[in-house]
Amino acid sequence: MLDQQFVAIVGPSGCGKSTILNMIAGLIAPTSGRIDVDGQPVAGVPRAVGYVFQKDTVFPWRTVRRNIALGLEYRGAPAAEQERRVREAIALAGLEGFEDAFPATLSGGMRQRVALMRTLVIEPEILLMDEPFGALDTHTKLGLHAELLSLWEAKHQTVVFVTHDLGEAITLADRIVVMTRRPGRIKMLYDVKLPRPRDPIRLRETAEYAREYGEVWHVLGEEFRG
Amino acid sequence: MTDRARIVFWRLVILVLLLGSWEGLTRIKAVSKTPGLYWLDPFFISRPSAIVERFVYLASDKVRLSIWQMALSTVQSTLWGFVVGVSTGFVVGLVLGRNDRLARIFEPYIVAFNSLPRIALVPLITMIFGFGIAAKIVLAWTIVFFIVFFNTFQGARSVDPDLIHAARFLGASERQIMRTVVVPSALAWTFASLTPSISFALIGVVVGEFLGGESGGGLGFLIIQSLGTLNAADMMVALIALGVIGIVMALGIRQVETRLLRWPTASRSGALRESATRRSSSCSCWASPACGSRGRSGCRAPARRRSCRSRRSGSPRGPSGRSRARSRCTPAGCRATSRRSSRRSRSAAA
Repeated sequence: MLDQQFVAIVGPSGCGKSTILNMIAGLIAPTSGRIDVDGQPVAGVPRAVGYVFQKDTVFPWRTVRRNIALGLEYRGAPAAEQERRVREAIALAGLEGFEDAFPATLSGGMRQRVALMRTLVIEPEILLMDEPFGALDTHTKLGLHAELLSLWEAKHQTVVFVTHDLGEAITLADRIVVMTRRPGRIKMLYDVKLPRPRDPIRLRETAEYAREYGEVWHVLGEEFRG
Repeated sequence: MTDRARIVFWRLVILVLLLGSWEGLTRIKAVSKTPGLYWLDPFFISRPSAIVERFVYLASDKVRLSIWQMALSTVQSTLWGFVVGVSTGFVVGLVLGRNDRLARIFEPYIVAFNSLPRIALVPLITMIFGFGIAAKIVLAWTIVFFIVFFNTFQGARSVDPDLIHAARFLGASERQIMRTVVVPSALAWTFASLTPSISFALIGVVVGEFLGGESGGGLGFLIIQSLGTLNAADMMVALIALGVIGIVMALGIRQVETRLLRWPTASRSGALRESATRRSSSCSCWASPACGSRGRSGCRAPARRRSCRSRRSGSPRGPSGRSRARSRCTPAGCRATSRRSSRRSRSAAA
C-alpha cells in the first residue's frame, strides 16, 4: 500500500473489510501475521491515524463547532488556533450557519460531514474510513464524494476506504482491493485508471467509468454469485 | 375554547365538585337513630373550611412553631438529602460503572443494602444522629443515593463504545474520555433519576420527622403531633403543604434538567419508537432492586438515549460482554424517542 494513495476495499459483507481497518487502527490485533504502518508494527491506537466510522459518532451533547474542535482540544491546542482551524474546517465543509447547532438538528449528511471534518482538522497522515457514507442516500453521498475528493486532492493523505459500493470505490480510489467471501482473502488489486481531478457526477456518464466498473464488477460478481 | 383551556376548565370543575361535596357531606346530618352522625364524619377527614381555618391559625404567630418554619425545615432537609445523595450516587455510579471488577466486588453489598426497607433504618439512624435535622438528611440520602447510583451506573456502563473509540482516535487520554464522553452520556441517565430522587428524598425526610420529635421539626412532626391530638384538620394542612412542596420541587428539578441537559433530542426511526413503547413497562436494571421489587421508579433511563439495546437480543454491545443477570437497563433507555412515550412509561414505572 502506497503513501498518499487512496485505496478502497470492496467485497461481500462479512469478508473482513472493517476488520482490516480495525487492525490498521490498532483496535484489534491480527490473529496471525503483522501489520506495519510506516515500517513500524501497529501497537495500540497510533496518533497519526484518523478514523471515520460508518456509524454516526458525532457527540450529541456538543455543538458542531465543539465537535470539530474535539481533536484539537484533546491535543491541548491553544484556543486561538483551535478557533481558527475549526472556522476553516466549517467553511471547507460548507457548514457555515450551523456552528452552534446540535447534531440532532442536522441531517445525516451534515452530521457525517462534521465527523469527517472533526477527523481532518487534526491532519492525520492516514485516514481510515469505514463505509462513512453507507447510511446516506445516493444524492447526499455524491455530494460528499465531491467534497472528499477536493479535500483529498488538496492534502493527499493516505486513505483506506472500506465500502460495499463499487461505484463509490471507483469514483474515489486510486486502487481497489477486491476481497473474496468469508474467509476473506484479497482476490485482486485493481488500479483505477481514471484521471484526476474527478467529478463524481459527470464521471459516472463516461465510457471509461463504465469500463472500469465492468472489469471490477466481473471479478466481484463471482463472489456474489455464491 | 382551545383544547388546553378546556382541560383546565374540567380540572377546575372536578376540584370544585370535590371540595364542595366534601364540605357539604361533612355538614349534612345523616338520617339515623344515633344522633349527631354526619354523611361523612368531619372528625376523621375534617372539612375544607376547617382546614383553611387551621391553616390561617398555624400560619399566624400565635403558634410556637409556625407552618412556614415547619415547611422550611422539611424543604431544607429534603434539599440537603437530595444534594448529598445525588452527588455521592453520581460519583460512585460513575466509578463502578467504568470499573467492572469493582462493580462485581461491591454488587452483593449494594444489592443487600438497597433491598433493606429504609423505614427499618429510621430508629437506628435516629439513635446515631439524634433527633435533629441530621437524621432526616441521612435517611433521605440512603434512598436518593441508590436511585442516582443505579442510573448513573447504567449510564456509565452503556456509553456507546464507538464514541469512546472515536474520542481515542482524536487523541483523547483516558481522563479526557471520562470528561468528554462518559460523563456527558451518563449525565443523561443521571438527570432522568433526579425527579424521582427529589420525591423520595421528601419521603425519607417525612418519615424521619415522624420519629424526629419537635427538635427535628418539619411537616412530618406536625402530622404525628396531630395524630396525638386527633386533629384531622392539622393533618390535612400538613398533607396539602407536603403535596405543594413535592410538586414545586419536582417542577423545579425538571426546569434544572431541561436547562442543563440542553442538547435536543432527535426522534429516530419508527421501529425504535415502537420497541420503546412496547418494552417501556418492564424496567429492570442491575439485579433490579431499585425498581422491580418495590415498585420504585429508581431505574429510569433518560429520554434522550440514542441507541436501544434489547435485553432479549443477548448481544450486549457494551464495552465488554457482560451477559449475566445484570441485564441492561434498556427498557427505559429505549423509550426515548418521544416526550410522550417517556411520560407514559414514567407513569408505568411509578
